[in-house]
Amino acid sequence: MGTDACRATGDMSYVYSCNPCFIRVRSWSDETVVYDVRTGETHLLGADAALLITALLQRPATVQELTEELRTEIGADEAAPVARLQSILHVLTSRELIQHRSS
Amino acid sequence: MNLPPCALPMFLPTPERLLQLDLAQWDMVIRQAQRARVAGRLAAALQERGRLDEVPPQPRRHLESALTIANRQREAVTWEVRRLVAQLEPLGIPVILLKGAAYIFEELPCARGRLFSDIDILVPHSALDDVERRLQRYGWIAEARDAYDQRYYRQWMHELPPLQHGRRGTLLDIHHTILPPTARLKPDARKLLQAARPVAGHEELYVLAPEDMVLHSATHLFHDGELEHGLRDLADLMDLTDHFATTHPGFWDELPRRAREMDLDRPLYYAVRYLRRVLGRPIPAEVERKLQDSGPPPPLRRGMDALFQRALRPAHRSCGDGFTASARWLLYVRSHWLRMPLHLLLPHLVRKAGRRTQRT
Amino acid sequence: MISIDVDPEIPRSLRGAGLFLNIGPFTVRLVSPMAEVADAMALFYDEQCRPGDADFADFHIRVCRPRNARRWYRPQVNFYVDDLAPFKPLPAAQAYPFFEWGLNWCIAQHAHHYLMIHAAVVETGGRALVLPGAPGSGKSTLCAALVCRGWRLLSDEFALVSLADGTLSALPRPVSLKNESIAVIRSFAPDAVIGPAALDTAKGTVAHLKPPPGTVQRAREAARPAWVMFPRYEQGARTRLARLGKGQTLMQLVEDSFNYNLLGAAGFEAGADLVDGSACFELSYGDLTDVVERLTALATTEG
Repeated sequence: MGTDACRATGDMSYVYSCNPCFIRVRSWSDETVVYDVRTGETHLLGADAALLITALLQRPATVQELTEELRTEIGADEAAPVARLQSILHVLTSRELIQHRSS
Repeated sequence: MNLPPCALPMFLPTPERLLQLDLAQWDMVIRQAQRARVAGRLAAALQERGRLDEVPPQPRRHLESALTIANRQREAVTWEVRRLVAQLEPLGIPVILLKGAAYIFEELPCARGRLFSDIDILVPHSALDDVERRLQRYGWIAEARDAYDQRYYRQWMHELPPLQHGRRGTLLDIHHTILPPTARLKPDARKLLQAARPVAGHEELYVLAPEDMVLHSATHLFHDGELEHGLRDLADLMDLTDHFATTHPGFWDELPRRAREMDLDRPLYYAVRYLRRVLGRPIPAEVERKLQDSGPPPPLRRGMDALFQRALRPAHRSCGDGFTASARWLLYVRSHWLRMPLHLLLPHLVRKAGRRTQRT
Repeated sequence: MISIDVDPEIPRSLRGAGLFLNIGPFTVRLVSPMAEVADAMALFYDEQCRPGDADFADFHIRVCRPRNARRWYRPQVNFYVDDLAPFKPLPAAQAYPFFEWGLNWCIAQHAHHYLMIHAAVVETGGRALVLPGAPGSGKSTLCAALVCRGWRLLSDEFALVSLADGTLSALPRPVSLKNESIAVIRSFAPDAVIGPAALDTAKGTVAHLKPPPGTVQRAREAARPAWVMFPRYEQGARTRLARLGKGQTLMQLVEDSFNYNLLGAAGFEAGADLVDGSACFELSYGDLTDVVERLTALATTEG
């Protein structure tokens, strides 16, 4: 945890998670707003980030697993779906919405 | 029900009695409670007993409002402390939570409905510089306004000035002892650290031992000067002693003994005295007897009663008389007299008085 | 200059035990020896003064001159709530606006059973239009205009969103108008009751519009939110509604809220429910008559 560790753009061995006890989500069309009960911060997320958070709220996952699961939604038009996912994970981690640990 | 003009203290030990109030009485009590910052506490107490709904709607909204803020602050403090602990973890030092933050993490009764103004932690004296440096990296800035304030804290009081988070605005007070080294009472901080206990479920976090927690609260209240929330602090003391008396057999024996060991029997004397006189809280006779000699000399006793019994009332017009303002001022001066040598005290008070008039 | 017959009971109460005012869900007890305040109460709050004594007041407010030299020399006025002065004194001529600004502060500090958003709210057919108010947006002017054309005023400062059921509560109070808006509304609605102007305030020249007859009587009627529109006045602009995403709208409402950060998840859910049930727009306009007609037509066709 902490901003130092976040500088890595998502080590492939990290397991990411999102704690449903603390995160509230509301979605409309392609906009999703997320509230973090711990920090009191409210975040506006784009469609891809929303998909990621929703997936992680169900169960923790690695970058690989997320890429597989969301291949059709996020990966279809992407030349480098893994890199795209990693950059979103990086942003979500820096906002403290998701956590990671080494597997 | 017939009420004295300053009725609030009688409801702190027995909040259900509030339900006997008529609307006009609620009007006064709500204002007193808001000024004394105990509205949330009363709301929480009634809610716990399942009786908040029995309060008439208009005053109830004020109670619920205070409780809403208190609950949100509790969440914020919890998160802020967890974050702090993670940030300080590499230093490998014990971090001891004090006051409100400790009450939250220990889930003590006095945490319920409480309003927090800042977070207080205690760290070893040797670690102060490292802690300050590390926290500055995470956006904490010393709140002291100018060079005089910096000197006051660092050189004279041997304390860090309060830190404030640049972005979030949270206030953080980092202590290394509970009274400054210049104070007349000399509690040994190392003993506090030795007796500190880990918080259940959080290995890196500690709180003071029960007796030390009570002594710290009493010392802060009776020696630290800002009595604006004196009644609230006295209510905390009531909750703490009630709770530990139930959960820790031998607590009442250990408390006066520890007070003597820590050179803090004078504040404990006052605590016990005013718990009885202001809140009507009986203390085991044995304890009062042991502390008999810890009070001020008898001629001074009545004088201190006159000061404290006024200053411990809510800071509301309905609860004061012509002497209340001077009582508060005298106690303020006294608290500084207890903290700093005379040659520093007078210029300091002059400066503070100057600040006060500028602000108004 | 409006001359009214001031009921002598009003200054008598103000100088004595206090005048009790029913302002939406709140009861205010006001004490003030100042003639300007008595006149304003008689003009604006005549239907909301409670006869006799009320048992419980949410706010105990006192507006009075200081005891020091500023009582006479460049006279000032102080605002106290329960004997505390949260603000510095203002020039005595601003005594009545000071009451309104101070009351805003009191409400914003204490009414946490609502999600409170800085917005004007008007209603027609049981459906409410929320107009969040960035400074310079013209929300008060637009609110005043709508209210003069048949919309019911809920409030010109606060959207009070109930945390319990998401409805908007009414807070009938005079609508504050600034600078050019005063003349604009006078010509837009010649029969409207507008009080005396206070000059040189921090916001310029300020005057107040009394809500039309019937507003106070309907104070207990809450309303369901139907539209959120961010107004933007631009001279010469055509009336235009540009649809906004609900997520984006929610983020902006959070910024415009007085107490969102104190409410935790309950505030989030209330805000999300508000945008959920509302059509959200950015509203640009340059002509008051046109925008009022457009909005009224919109409400009628949708209703």
